[in-house]
Amino acid sequence: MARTALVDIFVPKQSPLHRVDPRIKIISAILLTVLCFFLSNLLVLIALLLFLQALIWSTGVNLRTYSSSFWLVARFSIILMIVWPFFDHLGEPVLLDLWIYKPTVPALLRALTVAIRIFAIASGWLMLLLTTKHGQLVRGFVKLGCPYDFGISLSIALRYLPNFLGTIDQIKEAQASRGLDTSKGDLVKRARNMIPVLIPTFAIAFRAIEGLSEALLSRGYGANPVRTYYRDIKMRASDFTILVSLVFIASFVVMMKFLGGASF
Amino acid sequence: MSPKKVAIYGICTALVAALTYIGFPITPTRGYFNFGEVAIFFIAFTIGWKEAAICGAVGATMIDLILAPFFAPATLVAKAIEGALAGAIVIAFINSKRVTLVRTTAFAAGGSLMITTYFLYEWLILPLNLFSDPGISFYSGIGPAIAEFPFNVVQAVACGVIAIMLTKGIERAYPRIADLRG
Repeated sequence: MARTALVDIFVPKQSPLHRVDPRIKIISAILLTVLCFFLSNLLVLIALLLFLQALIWSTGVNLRTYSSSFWLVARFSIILMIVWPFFDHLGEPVLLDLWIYKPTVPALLRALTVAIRIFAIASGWLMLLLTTKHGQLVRGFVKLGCPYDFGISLSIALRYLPNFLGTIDQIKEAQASRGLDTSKGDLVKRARNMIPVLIPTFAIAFRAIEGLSEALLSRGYGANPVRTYYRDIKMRASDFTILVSLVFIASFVVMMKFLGGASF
Repeated sequence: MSPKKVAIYGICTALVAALTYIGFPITPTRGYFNFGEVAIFFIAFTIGWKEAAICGAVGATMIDLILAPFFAPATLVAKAIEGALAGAIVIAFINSKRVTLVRTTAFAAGGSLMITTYFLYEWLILPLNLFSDPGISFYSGIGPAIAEFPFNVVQAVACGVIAIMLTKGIERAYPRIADLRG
């Protein structure tokens, strides 16, 4: 089930990236997302994407582990590139002229820029999820000032999202074996055909709420207002170095773009 | 926060995210039709306005950051106000006997706000091109905003109707769902 690989992809390894403080990794992912929005030069975005891929590769994570996650993003990007020439006819040379479908080289380059940007953003968040345990992720958010309740809720959401995607896939397959097709037809028909898939999904979700709240209660969740940790996270010198470098690079790019008029 | 509330926020956020993920792209604005709204309305009808607003906003934005990052800021605002308004209307008429009418009004009001937010975002905010996207003119401005308008209406109406039917069915099969409110 490729969809279950969307977020449940932590791989236990001993790479330098795994050892980086979760706070730094969260800040990096956020900064990278902002940076990707600011960058509009295709070559710079490709270089950034290659750098991120090299970083992921350096963690020693098996390509198979995250290729399914990338395939999800790739599928969306491919659809985007295919439909883009329907609406963007600007520039020359025109590669094909089929009524309203007129792919031109500049238009395809624009579509590619957006696709690469989506890939780069996904790579940043994927890197965080590949190298950070859910527990560490929660602690990172809490240490960054988020309330613990928010951290634990987010952790539960990230933990259950692949479960629900897997469940939806299973229900779809079960209903398909009974003759239900959710992939064909117009918008309304497809939406209507999803009802037999949605009912069991919601029932499962509410059973999960009951089970989870009992589990949290039985572990004394909320009994002590001040939460203590057996193993707390601490910033090391290398973490500070990464943070300073990241902030410097991001500020440099933004300043050059807006003050210096740079074309990246 | 009580353990029950933590579980509700966590699971409902995952549910909204999962249902937002199962959709199909809409041209020309690079948006996509999804079932996230079904979950948001369902939470608004059965649990509460706060849960619908927070889980709807966080869950849908999580997926938008991956699939349609340009719409993430609009999604955060649109889904939050949609869930909050729909939930608030249901709570305001909680003792009403005309449950379906209340729910229809709730999704119509919430959905209208969602549609308006996206429309204004595509028309007024996206053209500012804050992030210097070279292809910005192809999915922003009044043209694409009008082009996506009917899709958003269909999405809100379809998801609202599905959510009403779904809520009725699940309340009948799973009466303990009423314990989740409050």
